[in-house]
Amino acid sequence: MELDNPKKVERVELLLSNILRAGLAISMFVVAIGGIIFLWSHGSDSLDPNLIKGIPNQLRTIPTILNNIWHDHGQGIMQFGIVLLIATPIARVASCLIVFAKEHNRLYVFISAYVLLALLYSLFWRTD
Amino acid sequence: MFGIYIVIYTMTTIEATAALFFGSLLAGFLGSLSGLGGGMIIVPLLVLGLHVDIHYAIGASLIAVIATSTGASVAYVKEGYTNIRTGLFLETATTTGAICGVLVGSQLPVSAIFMLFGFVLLYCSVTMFYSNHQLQMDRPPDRLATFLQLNNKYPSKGGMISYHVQHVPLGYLIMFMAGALSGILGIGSGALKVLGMDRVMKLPFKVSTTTSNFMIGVTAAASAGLYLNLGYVDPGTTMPIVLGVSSGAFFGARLLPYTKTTLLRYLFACLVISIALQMLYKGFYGIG
Repeated sequence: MELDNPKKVERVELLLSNILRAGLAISMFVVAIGGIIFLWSHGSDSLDPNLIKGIPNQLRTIPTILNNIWHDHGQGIMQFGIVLLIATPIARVASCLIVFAKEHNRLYVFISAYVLLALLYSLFWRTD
Repeated sequence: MFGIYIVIYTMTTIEATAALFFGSLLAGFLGSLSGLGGGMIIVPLLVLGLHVDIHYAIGASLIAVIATSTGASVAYVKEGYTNIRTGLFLETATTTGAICGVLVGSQLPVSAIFMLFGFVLLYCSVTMFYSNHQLQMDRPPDRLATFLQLNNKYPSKGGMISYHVQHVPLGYLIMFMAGALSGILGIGSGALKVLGMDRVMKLPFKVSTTTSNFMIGVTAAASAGLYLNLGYVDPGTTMPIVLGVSSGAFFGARLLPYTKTTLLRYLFACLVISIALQMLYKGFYGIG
């Protein structure tokens, strides 16, 4: 990616930093909104210590998190924001992969693909 | 810490959220001032001070680490010091390590995690006093590094200076261990990554720090995904922690240029040692 052409280097790095910044801002915003909704409806509940011991399955896997946004709004939206935050580095690796593919850098397409697969494996892994 | 125990169970949700937020604000602030990074301070603070279950603390810490390192790397990438290819190549090691770390760590008894944390913290408090700067000698190109396209240049006042990466296999192993520690303890392992790149692989110091920062987010994301699926990321707990740590880190970074390094280092070393001892104590004598 670091070609001898400084202009091209700058463009790529600008792209990456914009992706990172956008991902971070959006995900934090979503988390905050979810937080506000959550505290609005559950703020004065007393904490049930037993609640801490187990996260409902709806908030653990990606498909159910998305579904949960419509039901338990606050928690669902917060968890979605958290997923977006995890997805930001994934987006960064994916864009590196695309740039390497454009440059026909086979070695680094493979390397980026490995990292990407590791990240996706982690995110979509299930215990059941 | 220092016997500040907040009894969470008699609180309402909003009070607990506020406690988590301000505790994390402090942790983020201290973390960015000390250069230790988030996880090292967040997890002990949550576990010792606020009595959060360690697995949930690790889950929340990983998310917070993604946020802070992403925020920091935005600035670094633009400056042109980051070695993106070396970072990606080493990320194959850190992500693999992180996944192994989480899978192993989730099976470990909690006391073992506490003790490991204590030892890692003790190690960090000692290395805080090591000097940062290696004498930059340009070394001949290493064949493996050249094949892997790791060699690069970095900007300086005299133009672009090239450097050649060395000792790739050992550096790779160190990165794997950094990833594993990240998965087990919920930290970013930035310090270990910088160590590996700066001292072993002989990258220029500023390249090592920026590239390490670039890698921390990916490593933490690899651990975080698994933690999410294991059910250890509670949105209600994680939300105030992420927001608090990010805000704290932001203010800490702002304050950093105005602070005296040596005094800070001694203060933080004391703090870290105190935390390390408490973690070791808890690991040894069981959770009260």
